[in-house]
Amino acid sequence: MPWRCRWVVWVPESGSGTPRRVARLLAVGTAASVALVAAGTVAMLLAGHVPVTQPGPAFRPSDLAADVLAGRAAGFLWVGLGIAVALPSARVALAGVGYLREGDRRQAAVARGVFAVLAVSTAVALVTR
Amino acid sequence: MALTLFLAGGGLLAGTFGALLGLGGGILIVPLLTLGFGLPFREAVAISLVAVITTSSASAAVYLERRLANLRLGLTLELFTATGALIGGLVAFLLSDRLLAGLFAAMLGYTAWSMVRRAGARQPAPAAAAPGVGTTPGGAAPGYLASLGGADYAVRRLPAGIALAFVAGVLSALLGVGGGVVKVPAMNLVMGVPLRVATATSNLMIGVTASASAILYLLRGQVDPYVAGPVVVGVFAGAVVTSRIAHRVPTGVVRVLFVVVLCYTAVEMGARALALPVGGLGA
Repeated sequence: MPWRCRWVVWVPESGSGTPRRVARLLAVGTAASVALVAAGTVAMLLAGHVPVTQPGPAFRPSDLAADVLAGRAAGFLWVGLGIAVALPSARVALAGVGYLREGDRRQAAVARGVFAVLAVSTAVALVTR
Repeated sequence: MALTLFLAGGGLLAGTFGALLGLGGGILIVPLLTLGFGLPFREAVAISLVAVITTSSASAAVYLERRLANLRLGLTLELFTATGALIGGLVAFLLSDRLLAGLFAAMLGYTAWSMVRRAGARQPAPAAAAPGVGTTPGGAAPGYLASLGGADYAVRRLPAGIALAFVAGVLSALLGVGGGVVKVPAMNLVMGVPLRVATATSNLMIGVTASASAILYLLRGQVDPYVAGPVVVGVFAGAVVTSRIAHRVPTGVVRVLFVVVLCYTAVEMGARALALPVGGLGA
């Protein structure tokens, strides 16, 4: 049932577990992303790299696994930043699946639409870069 | 070490500010990186976008868990914001940036004035929700508009909200702003969504808007991981702490802070329209 306290207006989606699942994905994903970025930042400092004055390594997907296994700062930083950038798309996809399972076809279609626009944006970015 | 701490401190401030007001925090990060650290504007915007996504994800997780952010409304508006951002990105080179900046500054000034006037008169008047609106399991409310409402408010003027969400997306792509300065007033003043829900929902939406652009910047090699790392860690700390205590901050304080940000952004946009030196934006 909807209710309110002094400062907070609660949004009711009482029959839907989708917001909670999306919240968990965002919480876990962000924590993983920031943990990797923090590890990369520590590795960067230990290796004597100074931000701003020394440009960081370029993004090379083919080097990521090797960099992480070798404990290099670049690997942790790029994997962490990559997870961060991918999280919004992942939560849109999860919301779409969640609403579809709950039988809310309209909201699921909206989520699919958002995901499609993001996919087109990425495709345009790849083509025009 | 000192530079790293300064970057993390700037991120902490931006994350705090962004999570509280429904902005990404880029409005602080871009000037900090360009004016404070001498980074090129494009590189600063790229790092700001990653920070905006982190602010969005970290704070939205808390706001969704507490049922403060409205996922249905956010998804619906995101569809048009993302479409606007895509179209804005495609036509960006056809339009005068200075003209758009001038129009944007005027619109922000008017929005700030509207928010001040409303605060002086009364609280934003949420439309009364019909009994049971938004509470039906699976969202099977009688109408789509009704299913977007909250416990004690109903969403109104959805077409106008959609149009403004589209405009926010276009402006995001054209001017390098996240769109929170448009989305929050649109939901609060036009659609009748309480300010606190509007800022929480805007926080949720901003991640999607920023991610489309961030992918482009990342693939073009504009993100410096050595700078982005400390900033992202700081932003995360600020956003997580603020989103957990945001409900203790009175709505009036949020409103005043938001009006200050609107005025600052309007001045900066006006300066850009007049081709004066500006710090840059990324909210």
